[in-house]
Amino acid sequence: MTQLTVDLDEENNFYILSGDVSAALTNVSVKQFFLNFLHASIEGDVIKVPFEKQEKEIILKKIHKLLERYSFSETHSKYMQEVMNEYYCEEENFKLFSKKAETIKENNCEKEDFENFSHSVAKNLSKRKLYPLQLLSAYHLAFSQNSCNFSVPGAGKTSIVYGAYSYLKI
Amino acid sequence: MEKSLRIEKLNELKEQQPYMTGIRIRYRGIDEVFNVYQIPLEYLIYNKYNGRIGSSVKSFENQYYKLDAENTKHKNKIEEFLWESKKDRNKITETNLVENGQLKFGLVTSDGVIIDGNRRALLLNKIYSEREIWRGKGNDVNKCRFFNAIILPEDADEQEIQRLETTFQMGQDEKLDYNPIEKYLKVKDLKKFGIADEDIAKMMLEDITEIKKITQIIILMDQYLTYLGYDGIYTRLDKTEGPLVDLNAYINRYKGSGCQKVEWDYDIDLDVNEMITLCFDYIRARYEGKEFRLIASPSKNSIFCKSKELWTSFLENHKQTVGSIEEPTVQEIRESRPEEDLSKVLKSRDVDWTENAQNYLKGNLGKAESQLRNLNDADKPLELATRALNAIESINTESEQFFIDEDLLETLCKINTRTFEYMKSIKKYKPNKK
Repeated sequence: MTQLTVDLDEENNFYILSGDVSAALTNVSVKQFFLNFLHASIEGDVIKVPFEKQEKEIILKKIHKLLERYSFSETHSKYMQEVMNEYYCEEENFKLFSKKAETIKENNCEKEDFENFSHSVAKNLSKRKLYPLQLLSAYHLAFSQNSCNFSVPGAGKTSIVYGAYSYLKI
Repeated sequence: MEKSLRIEKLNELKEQQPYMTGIRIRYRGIDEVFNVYQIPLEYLIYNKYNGRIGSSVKSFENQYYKLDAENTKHKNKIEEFLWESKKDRNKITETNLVENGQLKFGLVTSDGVIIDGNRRALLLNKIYSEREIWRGKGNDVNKCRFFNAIILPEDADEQEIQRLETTFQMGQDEKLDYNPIEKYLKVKDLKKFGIADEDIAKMMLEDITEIKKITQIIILMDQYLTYLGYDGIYTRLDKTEGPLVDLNAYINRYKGSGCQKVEWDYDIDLDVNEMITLCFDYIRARYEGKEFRLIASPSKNSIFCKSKELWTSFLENHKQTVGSIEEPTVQEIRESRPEEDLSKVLKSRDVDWTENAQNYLKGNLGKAESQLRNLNDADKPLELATRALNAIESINTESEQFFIDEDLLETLCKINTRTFEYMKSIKKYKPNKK
């Protein structure tokens, strides 16, 4: 597996990729992406990807996305890990969060947590009774914090929002 | 003639009687009156980056060395480019100059660089050097020893020279004369001089949005050349303008906030990059028009837009087939044929590659087009089923291939299963009665 190490040159605003650079660049699409989308320069065994301060994370995300798409193994220098710790934590948390949201959507949630949620809705939204799937949808909405609901008319979107709201406001 | 001597000679000339007076041109933002002088051709040198021959000169310089218009050998090369740039037109102008003399004045800098009229100056030089032949034909060509032109003041800076050159060279009437690539190179050069898009638009009599578009396209052209390893060899852009303009429009639609015409959740960076790279191969094989649009135009009739599965299978087929074609690298070609003109060598490299890739390119595109047509007809089941039946009935069941192809039986099994499922669900179907 092609392996690339991502390092950071903070002084000159560059990400530096080293490792199996020539192997990675034999893929024409990868090479094109580095040159044309990331405006990188290829200097011997390293690829230098420039960034503006305000788009430091955006560029890193693009590099990460690229390496993931072409199944390259990605490692980070120690310095890079320290500096970007917060970013990586957020990335990792988001992954876990997304996975949990997906399990709720698939009706595969933690039973106890869902029961707590159901009790809370029953208590705080006493004038409406949600059907089981509405309750699950409200739970998903309350957990995800960001979500879209495109259900058909009459499915109970308002009740779902009320359910999530009644839980979150306490 | 050296620069200092040219300046001296032109200054002397300005003290003499002008050939024409009262010529108004816009100089440094205001209309100014200038005189036209009869300048002996030896006082002048060509502008090697003249908009007419920019792509040829840049390609040449990338392969060999920088051209110096003062050097006689280099001057001959520039003359060759000027002559080749519009051979037929040059022959007509040559006869015209012999018969009527120079009717349209030119423009030169104070140190004798021809800003406007390089082609006319070449022809005058040519005619005068062949004066004996012309005399034999009964033509007196002594007048062709001179080039009639305005001499700009010494305070004309590089920006102003560029502005005048562009205004004169790319004026509306002259545009048709130019190789289409030259306009892109001109904009690139003007931007290098720090000239704003708005000013470039005025010089070229274009809209500012057109200048922005041209800027994007020349970037894409450079990317295309880099992709092939042809950096700076602009002559290899011959016959690629159309599809590159189309591709630029696609990129603009697909980037940014995404394009609703695409019926799948594509990545605005990675998938668009793959699309560009694939298109570069089709451009290299000089695909254009309807066939090229089929790949990725923002419409339901393109492979990229229709479905992820269709696009992915097209892309993978392309990578497996076209991507496996081997060819000598540009470096290897340069080393093996050092004496030959690189533009010509690279052209033959492209021709060889196209020959090897053509079947794959055509086959993959044809297959994807047929799948696209089927997807677009998804709501016409009878039409699709009839098409499938026709295809099956066309199989020659007496050929040897029919019996030995290992995948055939498996495919027929799949067809059988699928048709059985379809028949079952049709039979089960009970229409809603309202």
